[in-house]
Amino acid sequence: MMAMSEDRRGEDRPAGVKKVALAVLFGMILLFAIGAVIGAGVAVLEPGSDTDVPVVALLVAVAIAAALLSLWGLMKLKPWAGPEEPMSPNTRKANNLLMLAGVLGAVLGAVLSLGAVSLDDPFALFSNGPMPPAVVIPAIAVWLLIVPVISWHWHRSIDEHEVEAYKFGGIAALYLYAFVTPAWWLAWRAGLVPAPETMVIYLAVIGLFGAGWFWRRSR
Amino acid sequence: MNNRLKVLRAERNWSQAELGLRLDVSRQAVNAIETGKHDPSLPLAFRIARLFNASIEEIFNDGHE
Repeated sequence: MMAMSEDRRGEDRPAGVKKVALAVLFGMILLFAIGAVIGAGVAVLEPGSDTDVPVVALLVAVAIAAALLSLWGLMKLKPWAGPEEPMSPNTRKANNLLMLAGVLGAVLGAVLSLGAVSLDDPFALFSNGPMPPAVVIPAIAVWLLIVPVISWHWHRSIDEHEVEAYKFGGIAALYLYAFVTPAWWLAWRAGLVPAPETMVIYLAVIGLFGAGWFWRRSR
Repeated sequence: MNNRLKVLRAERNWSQAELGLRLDVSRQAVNAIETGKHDPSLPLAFRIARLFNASIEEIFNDGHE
C-alpha cells in the first residue's frame, strides 16, 4: 500500500524557474504549430493557389507532431496545477489522458473550423461542403491513429465506477441512435422531412453519450 | 446497499481522495459507494474489507439479515 507521505511528496512544491521556462517554451511551440497548420490550410484554400499539397501535408504533419510533443510536455509539467488531492496512479493517468483527448479535440476542432471558415461559410464545418485536403488529411490521421491509442490507454486506467458511467452514457446513446435513425429515414422516404443528416445524428448521439456519462460519474 | 464506509473512513481521519488512493479508485468512486449510488464489485469489496481489516458483511449490508 502506498504511504500517504509518498503520495503527497511534491504536491506543494513551488514551480521552479526551469519548469516555468519549459512551460513557456512548450506553449510557444504549441501556438506556432497551431498557427502553421492554420496558415497551411489557408494557403491551400487561397483562390488561384498553386501550393504543393503533398509538401503542405508533410509540413502540417510535422507541425501536428510538434504540437502533440509540446502538449505532452505541458501535461508532464502541469504549470497550471496547484496543490492536488491524493490520487492513485491509475486515476491520475486516466484524468491526464482525458484532458489530453479534450485538448486534442479542441485543437482539431479549431483547425478544421478555421480551414472551413475560409470557404466563406461560418458553418462550413457542419455542412457537406468541400474541405481542403491539407487540413482534412492530418485531422483524419490524428483521429484514426492517435485518438484510439489514447482511448485504449484510458480504458485500461479507469476504475469500475467510471466504467459503469461510461456504459450508462453509451447505452443511452445507442438507444437514441437505434430509435432516431430509422424513424428519420422512414419519415424522409414518406416525404415528411429532409434526408437524414449523418453528422446531425452523430452529434446528437455523442452529445447524449457525453451528457449521460458525465452525469453518472459526478452525481 | 447500505455500508459503513464513511464511518470507517472518518475513524481513520481519511478524506475520500485518500481512501480512493488506497483502493486505486477515484474520489468520485468512493463518494458513489458511500452514498449508495454505486455497489462495488466483489474484487473491490474484498479490497475494502482487507483495508479496514473487516469482513465484507461487517461493512456492507443489503438489508436482509
